[in-house]
Amino acid sequence: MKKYHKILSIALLITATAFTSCTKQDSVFDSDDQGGILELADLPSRAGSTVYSITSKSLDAAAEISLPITVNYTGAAGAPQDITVTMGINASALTAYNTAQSTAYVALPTTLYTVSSTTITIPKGTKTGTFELKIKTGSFDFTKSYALGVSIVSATAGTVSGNYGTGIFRIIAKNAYEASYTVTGWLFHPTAGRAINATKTLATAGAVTSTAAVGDLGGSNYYFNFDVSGSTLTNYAAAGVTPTGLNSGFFTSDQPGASATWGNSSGSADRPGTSPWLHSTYNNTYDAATKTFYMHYGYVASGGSGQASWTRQVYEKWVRK
Amino acid sequence: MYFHFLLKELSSLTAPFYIQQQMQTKRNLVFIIMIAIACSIFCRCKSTEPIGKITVSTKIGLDEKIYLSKILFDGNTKLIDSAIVISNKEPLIFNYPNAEEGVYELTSTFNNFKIMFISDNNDLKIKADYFTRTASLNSAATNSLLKFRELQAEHAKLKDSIYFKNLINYEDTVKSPATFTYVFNEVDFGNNFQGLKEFIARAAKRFPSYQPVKDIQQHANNFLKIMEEEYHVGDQLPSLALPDRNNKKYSTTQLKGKLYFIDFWSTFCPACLAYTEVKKQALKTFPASRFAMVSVALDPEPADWKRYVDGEKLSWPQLIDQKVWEGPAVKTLKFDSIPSNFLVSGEGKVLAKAIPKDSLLSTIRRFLKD
Repeated sequence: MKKYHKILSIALLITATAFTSCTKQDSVFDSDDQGGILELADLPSRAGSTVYSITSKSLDAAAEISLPITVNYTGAAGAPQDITVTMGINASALTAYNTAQSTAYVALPTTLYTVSSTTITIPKGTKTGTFELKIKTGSFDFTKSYALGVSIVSATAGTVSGNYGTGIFRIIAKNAYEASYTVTGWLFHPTAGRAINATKTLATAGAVTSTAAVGDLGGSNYYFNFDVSGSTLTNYAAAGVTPTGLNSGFFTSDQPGASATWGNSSGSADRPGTSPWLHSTYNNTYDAATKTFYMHYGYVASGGSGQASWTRQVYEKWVRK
Repeated sequence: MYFHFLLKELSSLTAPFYIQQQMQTKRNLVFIIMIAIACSIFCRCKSTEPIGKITVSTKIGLDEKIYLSKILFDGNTKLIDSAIVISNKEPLIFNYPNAEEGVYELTSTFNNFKIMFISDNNDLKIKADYFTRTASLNSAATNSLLKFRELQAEHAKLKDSIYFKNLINYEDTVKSPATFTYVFNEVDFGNNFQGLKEFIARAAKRFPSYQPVKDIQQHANNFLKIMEEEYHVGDQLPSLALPDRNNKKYSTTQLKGKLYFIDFWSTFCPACLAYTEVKKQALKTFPASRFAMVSVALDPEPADWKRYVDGEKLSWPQLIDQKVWEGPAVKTLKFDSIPSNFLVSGEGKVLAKAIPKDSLLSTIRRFLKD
């Protein structure tokens, strides 16, 4: 029995030690805790084993947009005096994070952001100050995963937090159209015409450029890019394995003559240009009020000479969810 | 428990005390053995269920979610499983029922990079770098397909016929039935129906037990049947039964003995709607004792159909085939376009077909006189 108790005690001790080592660090910001600590406010709690905490900032794709980074001064009473805090972009922190976590975030190039001032002030009696970056999200390479390491370098009062004085900020840019949409329509095909009834997403490829899946062929890597210019969709560009050049694009009119047969019917009803599948409705436009796209595009495997030869024709209505 | 209780009850009725003690031990033993046998059978059943394992080594942001979905051959996807990445140093493991080869994709909350693959072995290993948007995996079928796609991208600069010939060659030789089915959507025989028929027959012979290929074959055969066959004047027209305006089944067999006009239309077909007035005139013009009319709408939306039927006050039998081109109307009467129509004798023979609206009344009049 004594031996059993001894084993149990050792087991409990090991368990307690194991749990202690997994316990997360103290909360990032608690105004009632011990005062005088300067921390980056946006960082989530992190496990003791991680090198830095990381957070994501999603911004609109624009010529230039503000990214405010808040610095907290802990304690119920706020700063005892005006505190000048020096901030910095910490490239080595991002490198260290990538190495430790086997990630490959790309340091945001200096051409894509500006810092008006690296010093901020936390006024006496207040608890926060703001370090502001201006990000040129519209000029991003949207295939890259950008991030910045940010540090509180020094302060005229208080103590810079060891856990949350430096953090990693992933910066994601999204244009106004990136979202999930309910898509209905029809894909005309010489032998396999079918209805489109699916949830599809528009992904950001630029400030006004989006990437969409062709009909129901996203799984087969058929994509295209397009721009929204006011209410008009322009600059169609094939992506993925979608045929390029004159083999695909937006229609400017109905083209029922592109194929001798259409799906299960060669007749007038089940072919392009028959109500409701009319270019006059699906006219490659965007209605900002209802966040709805009307699209009409198509492709042919190869050797096409323009829209009159595209034997796959898609009429789609995209309604934002 | 039930067996245990039964043994106990039986033994207490028949044995003296010391024998009962021995029996108690035996009973316990029997009970344990029975449980063990039951467990072993159950466990064996579980372990023989076919399971595929996908090991995904990631390079992705931490705390991002990765989704495993099956790409269905109708183009939709079905979510199979998901996992949160807490470390890039330990791979994620996904298990999935591997009844037959399929096409799958990995997506994530990190970015829109997708990894498509074919489950051609039960121990797939995928290296997925979401930062560089690249992936590698040990699937021969997937790698073959990716290589073929690269070649076709080059061939796209060549003539259409070469591109198509390569596609057919690939489909005719690919070992993976899932790949065949996946690529099939790109195959386009146009109006070469014989070519399509032979192509499908070759695939069905190579993959006789793969259900998606069976489905393709059935779909293609139905399509070919409609495109190649049709009823001519003088042929016996089969009967057709479909739901009417009150959702009651209506069969054209009840028109036996009467000259009748049957037409096929849809609310989304303007050329069909142009017949409405002349059909109303026909109903008024000819006696109900000798002439009948039935209209069949190929309409996916009953509400649209009812709105039109009620709005136009179409008083003769109105039927609907919601499956449109996949429905019994097209399959039974083998027409391949709308508007379409037949004028049928009391004996069920086709007297005229595809009657233009301008000559409908005169055609009916002519056969009623006969």
